[in-house]
Order: sequence, then structure tokens, then C-alpha cells
Amino acid sequence: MPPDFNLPIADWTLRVKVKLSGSDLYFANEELALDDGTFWKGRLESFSLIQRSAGSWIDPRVITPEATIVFKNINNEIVDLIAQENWANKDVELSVGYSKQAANYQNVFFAKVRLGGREATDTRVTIQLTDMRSADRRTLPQDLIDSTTYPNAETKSLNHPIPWVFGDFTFAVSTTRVPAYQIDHTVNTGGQFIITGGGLKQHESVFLNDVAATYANVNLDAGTFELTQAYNPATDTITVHCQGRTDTGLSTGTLLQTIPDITQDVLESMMGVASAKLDQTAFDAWDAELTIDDYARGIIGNNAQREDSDEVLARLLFEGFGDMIISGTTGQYTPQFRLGDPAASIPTFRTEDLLDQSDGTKQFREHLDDTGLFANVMTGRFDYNPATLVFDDQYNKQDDASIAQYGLRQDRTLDFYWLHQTGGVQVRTQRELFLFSTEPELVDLGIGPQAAALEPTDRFRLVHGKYSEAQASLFQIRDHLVDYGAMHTRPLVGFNMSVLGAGTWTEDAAVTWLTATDDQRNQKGFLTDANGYADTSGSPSEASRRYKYL
Amino acid sequence: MAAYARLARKFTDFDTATLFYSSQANSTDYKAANLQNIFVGQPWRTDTDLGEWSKWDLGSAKLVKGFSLFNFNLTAAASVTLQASATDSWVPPDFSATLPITTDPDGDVYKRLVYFLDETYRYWRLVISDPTNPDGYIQIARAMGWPYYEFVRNIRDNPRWVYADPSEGDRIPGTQSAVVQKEPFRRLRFGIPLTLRAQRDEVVTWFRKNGHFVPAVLCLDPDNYPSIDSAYCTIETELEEDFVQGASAGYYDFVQIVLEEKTR
Repeated sequence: MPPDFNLPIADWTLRVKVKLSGSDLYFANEELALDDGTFWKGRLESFSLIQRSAGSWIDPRVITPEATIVFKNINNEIVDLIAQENWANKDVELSVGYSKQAANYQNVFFAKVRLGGREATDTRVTIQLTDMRSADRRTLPQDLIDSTTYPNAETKSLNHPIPWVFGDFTFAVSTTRVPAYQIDHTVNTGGQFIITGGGLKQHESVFLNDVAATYANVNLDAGTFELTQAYNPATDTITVHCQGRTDTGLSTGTLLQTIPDITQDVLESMMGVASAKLDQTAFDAWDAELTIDDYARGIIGNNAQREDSDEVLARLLFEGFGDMIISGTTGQYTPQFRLGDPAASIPTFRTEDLLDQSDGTKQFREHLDDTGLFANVMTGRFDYNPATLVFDDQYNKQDDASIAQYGLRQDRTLDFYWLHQTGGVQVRTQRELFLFSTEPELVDLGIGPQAAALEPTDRFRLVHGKYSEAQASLFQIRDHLVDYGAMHTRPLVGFNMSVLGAGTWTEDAAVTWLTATDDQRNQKGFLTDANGYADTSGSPSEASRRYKYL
Repeated sequence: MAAYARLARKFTDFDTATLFYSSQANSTDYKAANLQNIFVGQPWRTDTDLGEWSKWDLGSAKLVKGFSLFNFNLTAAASVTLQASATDSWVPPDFSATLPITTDPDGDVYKRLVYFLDETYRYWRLVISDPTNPDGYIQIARAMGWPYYEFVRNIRDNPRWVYADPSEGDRIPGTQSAVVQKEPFRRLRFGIPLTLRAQRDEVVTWFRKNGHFVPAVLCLDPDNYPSIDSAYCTIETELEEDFVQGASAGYYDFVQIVLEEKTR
């Protein structure tokens, strides 16, 4: 049974496990003898606050948290342990709990010892931690068309990354084609070409300078084929219609074409993250929120560009309307679709749960998003063409109600490198427009042990101040700063998700559009008529058509 | 006349003895040898809670005037027997005594046990059965016999126990905040009249050899509350003595000391 974080009084103890190749080392902030036979030496002098974040709304990414542990170096004990086996890049697990029952402890942070992050004195050893993502980070794709492996490659392709192709680039979907690169000019008439290093599901056709060409000896798993007609590297280009990588990397597998599937494959196959480090349930849940309109396709490593895996993941998350963290409980990459979910298991924080300030008031602050992301005119550019490097299509949408309300017209362009279908791009663009055509609202809270096990992307309800019991406003944690020594989280930054809930759910006791305040109109959903108007006056205000974007 | 306060600061006989034991949960973290170091956070843990024992071979017969246990998981129903023998033979032992477990008004066990005796033997054995222990094993962090020094003039200056709670929480008037609870401990402030040279030497040696970090056992009321009014403690303050050369040679006046109990 995990610890009960609602206990008002408990002998909360902080533990750190350092995982070495030979054995694990157990430390705590006091001597801890547990019923599972483990003993945690009281050498942990202090543990810094840990800040974790899901990134900004428009730039979701796995933010690397950093933390510092200070050990008591009694009789040089810690220095001697490090001398036996270097701790650099070793896994560290932070857990909290109480009592002598091991079951009452729970992991809250998985980390690695930062390279170079160590200093020692006669009395203390300080270790800097970073999270596992920093060790997983890669430049993608990893492989290049190098002259050793490919001595007969065309000069213009030398040192070009071998791209990985995902999704459906067959003619039935669109005329967009994928570039191919000559890796051996001595083979066949026109040489051997490579399309992808990740394998193909299907190889449909080849084009030489936009004219159908002849080819042979297609190897789907290797992503290669041979051109059976003349090719001049100085003037010619080769493109193909094909289907990209599958879930097994072999042509017999299933085509990867949803953003969650592609994200998972990038982590596993391109970055080398073990499958056990991925929360499969969470990936499946994210996948279930998307439709065939959200199918994606794209190339990692196109146009001679290698990319930081952080950037690849951030783009996938943004287009897939998701966030991702490394769970402090499981140590797994855990994605989360952003739409509000009023599931009963979501904790509710009420006034009495908020920490007090010295003047007796609660640690609570409500504020509007001040990052300047307001926009009420959106242009979504999509159907990216990897051969021509341009977007072949676009979708424009503006929020007339917002323009009227604020007397302001702000535009933003969203570039979709993965989404390529009109339906998916429309929904994604409209979500962005709906969100940022009002003023997104956040709260900063101080919470006791109840929030210690929560992490960015988790959701909670808040009942305090203007957030009434009936309203049951739903928030998503974007950032938090946790002091596991004091079992305080302050601030816990929550994003008001009610703005995303509009059109999907509303509470029974909700006010109607006509009686709602400006604030409620911005933050809540309303029942509407068939045309989408929440205003039932008979001459509906355009501003009441807000539901329409979801 | 009731006994004065007693100080035990030398545990060498037991801490350097050859130690035998009935079982140990593992040979690293929960080894029986944990009984022999100054830490009270890392215990000896047995495999069972029935008939478990530890035995000290002191090498030669030694006078033992007190025996103590600190930081254990024994229940109030535990049977704790201290035995001693001239040879390594225990049927029957030459000396045997049942050590009493004390409890607070709520019935919860004090995690300290101090017992006074006056016996000289080479072999000492602690035998424990605690069949209703919910843990299913015996756990003791510190066990040792010792000689003690009894103050020939009792401590004075209103000796005062100060009960400290290291728990953490926001202390805001009128507000109950969530608490990170820690084991309470005591501080003891008292004065010692050093009118006798022997008493002065004992206190100074205590400080010189134990310093601020090596614990001693102090018992304020050996006759009535040997366990409850004892503490496994270190000297927190510096030791200041007024050296007075008067008509009576060796009059050293009076020192004040603050001790801090170690519970974890």
C-alpha cells in the first residue's frame, strides 16, 4: 500500500538509493530500519528542493530537473564508497514515506548522478543530480552516410544523416514524396539508394526528377532499392512514394502513423530507451484520444539536418496535444493528453489543504498567463513536403468573438511537420485558438504532504475563493517546487483546464451564458443550441459561440 | 539515603568483547556487532522473537555495575533476562536477573532500559523472548554493561529536563499545520559541585575523553527510576570550571553542563 499523503502527522523520512553495478547503497535523513530487511544509513544531510515542469503550453517538453544531495561524510565513508565505484551517471531513486513498514514508502524522483557533479570535503559530499532524460538525449538520426560504410556514395550525400521515415507517403494519401540518397553508384544502372534507416512498410514508386522511374531489388527492411536507369548526381534527384517505419522495424509489422506510436518509437528505437522505461498504459491512453484525422507522417533527419531529440519530442507532443514527464513514481516516460478529465480519482484541494502564510492567509495566487501567447487569428500550415521543404497546405481560423471582445487582433502561425490531414490540423488549430483567444488562467498554491506525490501533468480540482464546490474547477500541474524534507509543495502551478473542457462537460449547477460573468464566460463551458450559441436570448451574441472549436 | 546521580562513560569491556549471538537478520546492516558501536539508529535484528540471545566474552572476569539497552522494539510483554557466568556454561548461569521494561502512562514502552547490579564475571548473556512482538523479530541498537561513577555530592542547580520535539511544520498562530514528525529527545541542564577533587577529575575526564560526540549514560534517580530517568547522552556545552585557590586546596567550585539525549 502506498503511503497516505493525507496524513496530517507522520514521521516522513526521505530516502535515497544509489544503484551501483555491484550493489545498491541506501541512505536516509536518519537511520531507518525497515521491515523488509533494508537498512538506510542516516548519512543524508540535506536534499535540495526539486523543481519539475512539463514546459510551457506552447512548447511542451520534458524539462530536466536538477537537485543536490548533501551526504555526511563520516570518517570519509562516502568518499571511500565513491572511490570503490564511480557514481557518475548512476541511477538514484528518491523516495519518501513513514514508519518502519517498507510498504509505506514511495518513489518520487528518478535521477542520475550528473557527470562532474560532485564535490567533497572532510565532512560532506555533495552530489548533483539530473534526471534520466539527460542521459537518454540523442542527436537524431544517429547514423550518417559515411565514406567508410558507403565508399561509393554520391558526393552530395556524404555525411548526410540517414533519415527515418514515419507514416504514409503513398500516392493514395497525397503527391508528397520522400527523398532518397545514392549510397553506391556501382550497383545496377543508376546505383543503390537509401530512403530510411528505420525500414519501410511499403515501397510504392520511384521518381527521377518528378518522372516515374524504373527500379529493382527493393529491400524494405533496409530501406533501399536500386535504380535501373541512368542517374546523374550533379543534376538529378530521386524521390519515392512509400510507407515508413513499422512497429517492428520490419515490413511485416504495423505501420506507425499516430503521434503516440511515433513518439514511443523515437524513444525506444532512435534514443535507445528501454521499453520498461515507457509507461505503455499512458501511451495507449494518449493514442485513444486521437482519431484517424490525427494520423501523422514525417522524416527525422531530412534535408541534411540532425536534430536534438528534445526538439523532436517537443514537436510531436505539441502536435499531439500532449505533455510528457518522467514519472517520479515509476521512472517511466509518461505522456498525458491535455483534455480535462473529471475522473473521480483526481484529488480535490480545498481551502483547508492550502498552506498558511505567516499572516494567516492562504498560500494562493491566481493569475493570468502573462507569457504573451494571446492570439485570436491562427494559421495552421501543414502537409509538409520533405522534398521541396515547403508546406503544401494551410488552414486559417479566427475567433471573431475574441476580436470583438478585446478589440484586438493578434495572429499566430502554427507549423505542423507531422499532422498532414485537414481534419486533424483543423481540430489542433482550433484548440489552440480556443485556448489563447482568451486569457489562460493559472493558480500558484502552497500544499502540504497531499501534493508531494503529484507531478507535472497530473490534475486536481480546487475549491477556494472564486472556485466554488459546484464549479469544481479542474487544473493541470505545469510546474511545482517540492521540499521533500518539509513535505511542502510551493508553489504548485496549476493551469485552469476548464477552458479546455468547454463543449465536453459542464457541471449540473453551471450558470447559463446569460447570467455568467465575463470571467465565467472565459473559463467555462456552456450548453448550446444546434448552431453552437450558448446565448439563448433569441438574438445570440457571437461571443457565445465559443464551444464550436472543440 | 537514596543514591546520587550515576554516570557511566566507559563501555570498553563490552564494546571490545567477543560477541556471540543466536541469529542476525543479515551480516551487514543488522549484524549483532551493531550492539557494540555508539550509534542508536542501526540495530541488531534477530531472525525470530523467541529465545534470541547475545553473549559477550569479556576475556576475563570484570566488574559490571550497570547494564543498559537503548532503542529497541521490545513490547511490554517481552521477557528480558541478563545472565552471567564464570565459565561459558548456562545451565544454570551463575547470575540471572530479569530486566524490567518500563512504559509510559499510555502503556507505550520507553525505548531505554537501565539496570543496576554489582557482579563480576567473564561471560555475560542477554536472553530475550517477545512472542507477541508484531515485528516477529527482536531489534536492539545498543547494549552494554559498565562500571559507573556516583557523584559524591549530588547534582544541583535545579536540574531540569527539557523535552524537545524536532518535528517540522509551519508554526502559525492558531493554525494546525501538517507535521513531519521526528522522535522527541531530552536535554538536561544541571550543575555539579566540584568541591571534591575526585568529582572534579571525573567530570573533566568525562569531557576530555567523550567530548561532544561520544555518548555516556546518566541516571538521575538510580533507586526509583533507573530506566525512565536515564539518558544516553552527549555533552552539548563546553566545560568551564572556576579554578579557585583558597584556604582549602583544590576547591574548584561548580560547573554547569547541558546534556542532549540521543534517540536515533
